[in-house]
Amino acid sequence: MEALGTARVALVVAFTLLGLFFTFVSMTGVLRLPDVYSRAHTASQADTLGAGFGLAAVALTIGWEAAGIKSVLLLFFIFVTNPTAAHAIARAAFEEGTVPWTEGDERR
Amino acid sequence: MTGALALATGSLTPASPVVAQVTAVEASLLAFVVLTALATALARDVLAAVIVFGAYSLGMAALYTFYRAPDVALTEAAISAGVTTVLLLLTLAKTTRIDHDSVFESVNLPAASAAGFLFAGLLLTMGDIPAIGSPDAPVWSNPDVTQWYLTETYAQTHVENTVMAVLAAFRGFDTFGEAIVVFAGGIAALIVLHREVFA
Amino acid sequence: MSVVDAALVAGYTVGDFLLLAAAGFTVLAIGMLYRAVKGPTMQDRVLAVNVLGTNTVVILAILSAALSEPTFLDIALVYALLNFLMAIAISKFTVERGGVL
Repeated sequence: MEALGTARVALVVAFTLLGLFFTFVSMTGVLRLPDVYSRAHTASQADTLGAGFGLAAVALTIGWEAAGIKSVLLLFFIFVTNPTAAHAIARAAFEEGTVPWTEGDERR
Repeated sequence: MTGALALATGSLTPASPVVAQVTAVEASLLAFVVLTALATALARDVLAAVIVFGAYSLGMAALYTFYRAPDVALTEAAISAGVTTVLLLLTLAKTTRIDHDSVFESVNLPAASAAGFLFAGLLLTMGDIPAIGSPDAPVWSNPDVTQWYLTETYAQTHVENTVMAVLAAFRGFDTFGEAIVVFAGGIAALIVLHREVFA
Repeated sequence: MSVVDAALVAGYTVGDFLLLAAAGFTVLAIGMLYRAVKGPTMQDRVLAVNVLGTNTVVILAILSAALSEPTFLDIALVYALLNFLMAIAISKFTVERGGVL
């Protein structure tokens, strides 16, 4: 039982750190990438993974309770909606006539 | 060293004497809120201001949650991020939006410094406000008042919820005045729009 | 004993660690704010605020775990819904002016 508790604490810490890392990656991408399409790509992938790890840590911390199950549902909701929103935004950019960045262009 | 560590993590118990210290979460949330508020005020483009204001309400909701006021946080989320943003977007959709070259509004330095001095003056009164969870706060130093409301409310007003009783019965005239202000605002809007009803 | 109160290092509990992590997420959110302010296109701003919103949902969830207040998760849930709605509403707005909602 004691070993199980230690493993759970270790997993919580590891998931939180992974979540922080992937959110950092997504922040770097949103700040550094050259145009809205490439930024939408980090926002939908790295950020969803970061949020997923963060919420997984929360679910592990709370455990088998209604709130823990709620945080798992929240995780799935984020997994579905985050890429959808990024897609809608990229599509809006395309319909407004934003030309995708290619090598050699000026960074925007 | 201990002080720095306490500053970084803070205390989780309301009764602890270090609650007055600013924790890392608090500090970063406050910085976020101040930055978003500044960006909202200074943004040249109206739609950009609306969008950044949405981010501001995100920070406020997290801050309210940290201060354990989930009801206020929920209201902030629903009203500020939801209703206000949609209302402002609808308004923008019905009007025209001008494209700007610069991102930020230019700041009038004398006006900004006057506002800064006013802010500093108001900040002086902060010392008199009791710290969060402080045992000297009126709600703790005058337990008789709190107890009076809790024990006497039902006998006096026949309202079961004490908060509702204070708002609508004990402070009835106050709330009535607030309602008058809201209705006056609505009537003023109708007069300005040359309309007789909202339709 | 819940996980939040479990000792981690040097007298600090998992709850303290989670609070620090929430502060870390907030610092990252401040970084993302730069893109929300600078733009240059409207979609860049919406994207930045969407990422910020996801970040805030995580912050709210971590706060609810760290403070042992499971009801706070409801706020995170409401925010996740609103965040998605806002991204869709604004991206629809910028495409067809006047055709919001």
